[in-house]
Amino acid sequence: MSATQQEPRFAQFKLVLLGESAVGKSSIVHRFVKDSFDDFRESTIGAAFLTQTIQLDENTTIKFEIWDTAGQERYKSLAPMYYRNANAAVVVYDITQEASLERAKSWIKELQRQANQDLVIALAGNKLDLESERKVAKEAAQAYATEEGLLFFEVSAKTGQGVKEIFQSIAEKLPLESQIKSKSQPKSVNLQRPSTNNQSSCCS
Amino acid sequence: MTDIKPKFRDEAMSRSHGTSLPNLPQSQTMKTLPVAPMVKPSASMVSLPKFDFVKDDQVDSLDPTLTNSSKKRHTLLQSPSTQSIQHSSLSLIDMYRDQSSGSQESDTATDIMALNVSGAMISEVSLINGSQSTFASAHDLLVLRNSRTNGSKVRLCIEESRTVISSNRDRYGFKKATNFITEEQYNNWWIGYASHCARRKRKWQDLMIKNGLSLNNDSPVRFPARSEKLKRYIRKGIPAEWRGNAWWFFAKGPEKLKNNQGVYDTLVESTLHLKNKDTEIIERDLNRTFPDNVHFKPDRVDSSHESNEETALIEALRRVLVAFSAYNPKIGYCQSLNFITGLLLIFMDEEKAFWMLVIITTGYLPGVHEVSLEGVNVDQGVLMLALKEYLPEAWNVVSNIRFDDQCSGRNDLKNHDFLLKLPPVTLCTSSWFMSAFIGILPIETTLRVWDCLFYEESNILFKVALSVFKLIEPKIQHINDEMEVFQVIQNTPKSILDPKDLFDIMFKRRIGFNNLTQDEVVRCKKYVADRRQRAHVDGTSDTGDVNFNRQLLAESLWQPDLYGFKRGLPGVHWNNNLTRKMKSKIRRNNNHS
Repeated sequence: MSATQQEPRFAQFKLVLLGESAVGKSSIVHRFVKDSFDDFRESTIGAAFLTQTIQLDENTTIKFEIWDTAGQERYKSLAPMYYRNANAAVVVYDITQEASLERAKSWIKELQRQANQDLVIALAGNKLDLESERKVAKEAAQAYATEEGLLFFEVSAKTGQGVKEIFQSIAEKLPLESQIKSKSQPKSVNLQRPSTNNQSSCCS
Repeated sequence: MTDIKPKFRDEAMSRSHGTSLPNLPQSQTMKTLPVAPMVKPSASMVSLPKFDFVKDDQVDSLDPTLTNSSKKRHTLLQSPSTQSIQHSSLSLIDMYRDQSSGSQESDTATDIMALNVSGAMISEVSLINGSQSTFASAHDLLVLRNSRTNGSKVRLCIEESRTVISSNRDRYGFKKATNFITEEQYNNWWIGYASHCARRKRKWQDLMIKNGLSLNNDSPVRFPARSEKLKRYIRKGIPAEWRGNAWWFFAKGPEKLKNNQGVYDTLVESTLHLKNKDTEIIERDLNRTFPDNVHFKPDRVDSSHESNEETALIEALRRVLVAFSAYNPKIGYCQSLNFITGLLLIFMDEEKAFWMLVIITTGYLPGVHEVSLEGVNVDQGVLMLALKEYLPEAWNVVSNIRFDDQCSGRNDLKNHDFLLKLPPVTLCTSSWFMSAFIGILPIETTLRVWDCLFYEESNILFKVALSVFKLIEPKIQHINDEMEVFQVIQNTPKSILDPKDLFDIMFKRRIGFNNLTQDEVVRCKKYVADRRQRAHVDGTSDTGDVNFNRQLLAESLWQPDLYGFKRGLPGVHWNNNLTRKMKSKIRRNNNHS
């Protein structure tokens, strides 16, 4: 990111999490937003909405508006509402569940077909802390991600490993410059005070 | 949905079933249940957590096979009831009972002890018959019965429990503190609410006696006939320990069970080893159901082991959800049913919980959990119409939030096109209906909503939603950032600790939600379902997006058969005379319906 502009810049982006149920979508978000982890997290019904701001560089603050969705297949028909206007999507699978990668791939196909052309998609393999139970080889998932032009990460919401990096890399890849300039689209970019990450700005 | 007797039930099965698995559920029979024989735990056997209220020194005599470690667990996994005995001097008020409760509990324990001896013999005999079953082995049935017995014991101790200030959990075993409420806030509120509950309990007792109904050792099974007075009593809260029975009674559970004797037991036995897509998701959700409740996830005393052991209620939850998925394939399993079932299991035994689930998913939340989730969309459509009608200012804010640039302009508002492509705010509100406000409102408030729901039907859910929006309305008027609105909508209900804050709005005449009667809701649902169906091209497309027939949409421009709410009398000055007139009118209407 160029730091040529001296004035503080602020942009906000919509991000959606998709993936099979129980792969750890909510856990990843909670690690990112609250830096906390529960071994047992309630299953998400419908969707949960959370926000988090990150400092991209000295001058640039980015606020993520995150839709954390329910994973069960039948909720799929509601998904377009979440990703229709999203700027980024994190598609999560569980490295210990082979089928969850297949599900992630079908989400990615749908996003490529249906969502915004400029949508930044990241594929994230969660539960890296369960390395001994791994069923999905890193290389295979990595190769798929490269082929499809996706960001790729392996993370652990439990230990926190790699979680921040997902959002950091997405922020770097988002078309920040063009968005900041085009003030005619206040919907995706608002120049305003970033909200603090207090409890009331997150859901549980 | 009609009740279909499962076809797989053969003669031998029903005979063996009759002896090996007596109907557990009736609260009366629970105390006289034979406790299954104690078997040396084998590696394959599911270990059964104990929640009984037996005192430590009785453990040995009750169960000689208990190992040291499980004995330790006995003392450590104290249920709220044992806590409340120990802290009885700290207990705020002896809410529902006189001081004799302690001895009462040990009496029950003695009962179980005495039956343990004779029970062992009976069970062994019946298990031989049970082994003929092709669906479940004798071992399975033993484990099953043990587990169901334990589940009943948990429920008994829940009924005996009460909320104590010194405990970090409430009377149902939930943690008092949430992300939105501190333990201190809870306790401060509870002091007042406990006396409300005690006062209401006395009123209820009087009402029951006046109606010549038995209190049945503080577990009444019959309740007064429908009346305005009873409705008022229910709106002020059913006594916590009567809830299970009252919900069951008002939702017409007894009739349902009467027509389906034995069906649940057969279903459970035949689905013991069922494996499919639904059971896979159920398994994943078991540990994600009320992890903040001690009966679902005990306090971890020793972090390394024992964390994998299942509680009796988790086992019951699995059985009910799996049996239900087989019973109603149109629904199968839908996330959110785990919470509904979980809450039911806290208040009633698993067979009743199963039939309540059947009743809720067909009568109170029809279609909501079906694979297409169309019932959710219809309910959301109704909510949006009601919001527009009753809270135009809140509607103004939320209807202006748009994700999709193509879909804007006022035409779609005028023609109710928002019913076809639901506004983004429904992303927040869908879950309110799917879980009937569990996890949305704090637990005591949710329970008060459920009290009304089973007596007054589904219009209550819409009234609750409108009342929440009424609380939200002033907060969102001046928010510039659309996304902040979502936060407020999502978070506000989670802070409604005092049911009064919600109920005062819900039933206050001046606010007028009373006009949203059950008839109105039914009419409105029909309208929305019809609108959606006409515009819908053969279900969801393979893209997962919902397609609408644009031509039909255009048609509606010149054919705006729009839904009109029946107007109430918002501008009328209420006086006693009018109130009386209206009351008699309402009574007449109620009698008709």
